[in-house]
Amino acid sequence: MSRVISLTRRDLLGLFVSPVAWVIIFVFLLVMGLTFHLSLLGVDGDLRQLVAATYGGLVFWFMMLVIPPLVAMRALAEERRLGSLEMLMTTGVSDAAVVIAKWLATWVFFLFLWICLLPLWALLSTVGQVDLGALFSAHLGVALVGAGFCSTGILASAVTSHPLASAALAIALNMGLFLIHWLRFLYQPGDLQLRWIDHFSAVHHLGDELTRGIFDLRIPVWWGTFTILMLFVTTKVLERRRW
Amino acid sequence: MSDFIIQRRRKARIHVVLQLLLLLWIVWVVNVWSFHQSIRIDWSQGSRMEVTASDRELLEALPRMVEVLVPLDIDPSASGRVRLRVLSQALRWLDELSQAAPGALRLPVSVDVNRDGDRWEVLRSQRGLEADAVNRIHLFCGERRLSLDVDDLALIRGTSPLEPEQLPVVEVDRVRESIEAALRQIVQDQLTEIRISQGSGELPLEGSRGVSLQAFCDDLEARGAHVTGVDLTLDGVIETDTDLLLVIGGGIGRFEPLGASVRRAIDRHLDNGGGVLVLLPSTGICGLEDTMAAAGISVLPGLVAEITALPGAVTRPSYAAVGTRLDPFHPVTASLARDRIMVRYMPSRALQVSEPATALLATGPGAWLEREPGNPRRQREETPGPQILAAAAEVGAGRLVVVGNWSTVLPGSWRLDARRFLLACCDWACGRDLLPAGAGREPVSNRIELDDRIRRSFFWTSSAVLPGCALLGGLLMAWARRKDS
Amino acid sequence: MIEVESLSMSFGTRRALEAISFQVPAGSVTGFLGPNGAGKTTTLRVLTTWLLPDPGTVTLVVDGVDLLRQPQQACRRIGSVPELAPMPSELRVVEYLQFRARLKGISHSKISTELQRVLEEVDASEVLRRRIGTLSQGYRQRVSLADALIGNPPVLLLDEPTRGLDPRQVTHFRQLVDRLRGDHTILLSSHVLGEVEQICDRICMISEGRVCLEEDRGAWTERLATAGSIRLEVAGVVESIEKELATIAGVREVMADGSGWLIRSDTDVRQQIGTMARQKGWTLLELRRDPATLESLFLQLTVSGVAS
Repeated sequence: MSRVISLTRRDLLGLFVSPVAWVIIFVFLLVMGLTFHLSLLGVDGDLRQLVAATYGGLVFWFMMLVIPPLVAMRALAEERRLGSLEMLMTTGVSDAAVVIAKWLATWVFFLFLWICLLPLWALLSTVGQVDLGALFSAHLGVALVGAGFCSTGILASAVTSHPLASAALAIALNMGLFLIHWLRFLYQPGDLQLRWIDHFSAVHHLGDELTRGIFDLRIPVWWGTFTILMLFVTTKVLERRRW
Repeated sequence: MSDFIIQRRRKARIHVVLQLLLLLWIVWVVNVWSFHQSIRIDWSQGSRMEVTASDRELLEALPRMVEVLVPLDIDPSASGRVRLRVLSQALRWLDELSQAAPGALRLPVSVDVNRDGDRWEVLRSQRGLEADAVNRIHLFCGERRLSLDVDDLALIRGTSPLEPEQLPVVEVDRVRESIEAALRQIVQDQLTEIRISQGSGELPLEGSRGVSLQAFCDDLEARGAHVTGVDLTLDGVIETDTDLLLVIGGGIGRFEPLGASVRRAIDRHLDNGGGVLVLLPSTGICGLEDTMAAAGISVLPGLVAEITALPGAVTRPSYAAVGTRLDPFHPVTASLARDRIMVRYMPSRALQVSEPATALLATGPGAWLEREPGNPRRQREETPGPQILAAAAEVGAGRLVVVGNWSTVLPGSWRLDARRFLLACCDWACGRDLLPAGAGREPVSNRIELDDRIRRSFFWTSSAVLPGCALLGGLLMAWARRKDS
Repeated sequence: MIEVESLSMSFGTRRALEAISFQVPAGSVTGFLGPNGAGKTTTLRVLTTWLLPDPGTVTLVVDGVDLLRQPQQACRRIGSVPELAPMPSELRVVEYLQFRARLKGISHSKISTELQRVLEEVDASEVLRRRIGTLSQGYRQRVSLADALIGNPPVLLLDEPTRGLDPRQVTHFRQLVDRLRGDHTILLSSHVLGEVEQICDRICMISEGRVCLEEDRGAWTERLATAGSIRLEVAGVVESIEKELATIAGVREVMADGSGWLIRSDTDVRQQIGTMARQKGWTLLELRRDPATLESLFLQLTVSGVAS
């Protein structure tokens, strides 16, 4: 456990001292900040709808799909290429600890980005009443869905040897998850299959439920089990070299 | 030793496959379990989507499965969008209820009539709906059908001639309450029996909608009533199961006042606990003056006139009576009295009300009673001050409501506050709630005024200050790393 | 100490190590020699538990711990310095070493003293706060070695530790290894034979996945002595001098070497050559003995195969 913390700390330190990370932070804040502003104008000041408008839409989902792969891409692929993974594993630390630590560092950085947007909401709360419940649940959604997308990023990083290939694979996996929502068009409203599609659909979880303040236990159950599954597969991929 | 390595490899491979299968199975089981057993909490302000214990009780008490169909005809105008939002909210609420009790309430089915025209046709003929029954929530339970209109779901304050720039806005949100009432209503076995008098020059119940009461009757039936016509001049008998008798004092040509035998039948009906709603003719008598007088309601000669505001800041006197004042205590108007209501009657008779009757609806102080025929002119001798447009009284075991205008039930006028008011009268008069016209609450709205100052400060904060902080942070980090190295 | 018996390793169809066996006695410095691609790095990677060897491997024991059955325990007894050790260039030395110390299980309170100790040991205390990316190759190697020394592991595996170092840095490294000798068992791999000759107590020569030679210092010194050659240069041209030289007892081979001849023999036959020269009336210009170097031995063995 303490090794996981040490590994995570080291990865986070490495992330935050690299200029790439700050470029990502800058671009993220600029783009999401402008999106926030445009959403505010779009809902004409209606703060109840603002949460759903900001944490939804094309730009938001682009960020959700693309940023975790970009942050995770160097996690394992680069280390294996440079040989530093070998140096890490030969200290006796387990494969699972390495995978969890890489994922945790990616996820924490990802959450940090979204937390950096909160000052905008704080500013808004000085002129109106922000729906704190909906804001909280929206961030919970971002955290849960983000955990899943980060885990696919780590898996892609373990499977490929070059960071760019890892990013591409992770984005493809995330797109696949994201597009599940559009299977709805195969069915008519009222069919039971729609309920199943909703169970797995990130767009439904965030757009229809969490950004409106509705928390459903199914959401953390699905994203939690998915993340665990991905991290398990990644651990096994890493272990392959032993057999 | 070689065995050991081979063994280990083989074991590792088998273990991986087993572990993966086990994990997949666990993921599957856990997700299926949570699919069926979920916990849903509404954390938003106001918690309008929270399924409370009383909601669950209501759902469990439903004896039969209720199905919902919502045909949507999307209207891109401002008011159309607001109405669509209300319908969407109702759909989401029904969805929540359905998730809480899938055995009692089926998932609502919505269909876009423009995009899925064929499907709408199929469903429409299956359910026996009219072609214009769109933008409504239709609930089906066995043979029963109940339809909720957007006006039942929310009070929308729309544009008025005085404020054409104003966007329609939801003033009272009644989605939960009206759906609850509809669910309670639809599972009852007995229909409200409404009979409408015929044979005295009234409009027929059926026919083309322009010159019949079809729209009015359809609305009543959609609200869970069974409407039939009764020609009182022929039989003179009102069936005992009649909950409400409607006397509509107008139609094609002239209304014939009801005869004495009819009046006696009506008196008997009232004694038996039935309800009577009288819509007065614009001129002349309706024939029930004695009954009304005994209840404390008398009809004054003449028509109510008011100064009417027209677009272009022009005003002139007209026979358009606008009832704005409601009795805050009477059951008919108690819940309506909270809202700013404007019931337009063109024209309306005025009533004089004394004990035991209660005045329900009155105009503002600027109205007067115009006794002379022709264009109304304000003259000192005419009775000034608030004119009473509707009154109610309990007669024996029954209830009597008198309204000064009959043309509200015409298709062109059957909408907005006049409709709401008359439905409230019907509800009370028949002694059974069709649907409560009151209840509901103000939608939680946190709207802020986006003036220039706020717009500017937001723009600069979001596009410059925050990213600037990031830039600064990056530079600080780079500088801190360069130090000592 | 390290015991390897019948270690085989293949990568797909390519067999990198062919049942090699060797030993590294406790406290000694053993040189692992071989040309590029011989399998040195592969052997070291197996010993660090990164690679799993092929079935058929009999023994892999490090400091009494079976590498195959208890890899994690074995890891803790080993400090390894890979070739051109990859270290994150954006971190400072102190940050990196702290991280490595935590990974190796050094308790929080003891970390700073441990770091001080290892950096003093490798004589790199002055670079504590520098970013790894700004270090010279010499300092990088020292930091890498400091990392390996964290936790004071009894066994050190060094892969080409003097690659890219200038002569002064090499000397420094040699002094460092001398200091570590005795307390630590060191296996260092190299293809720079001169250094190995100077530093190591024992050598193990490997070529194309097979061990060609495994000897202590005393044994190879003697071998080198006998594997040397004698160089003869005479004035003028003497016909069939090779045949005459070949008749001397013990001479194995006579080869022309520019202006003279190289004579390989089992024993030192200079006296016999001198006597022959006097008898035949040759004018001796040069008669000297060239002891063999490790390099020549290396070339001989790795080209021709296993030493007898």
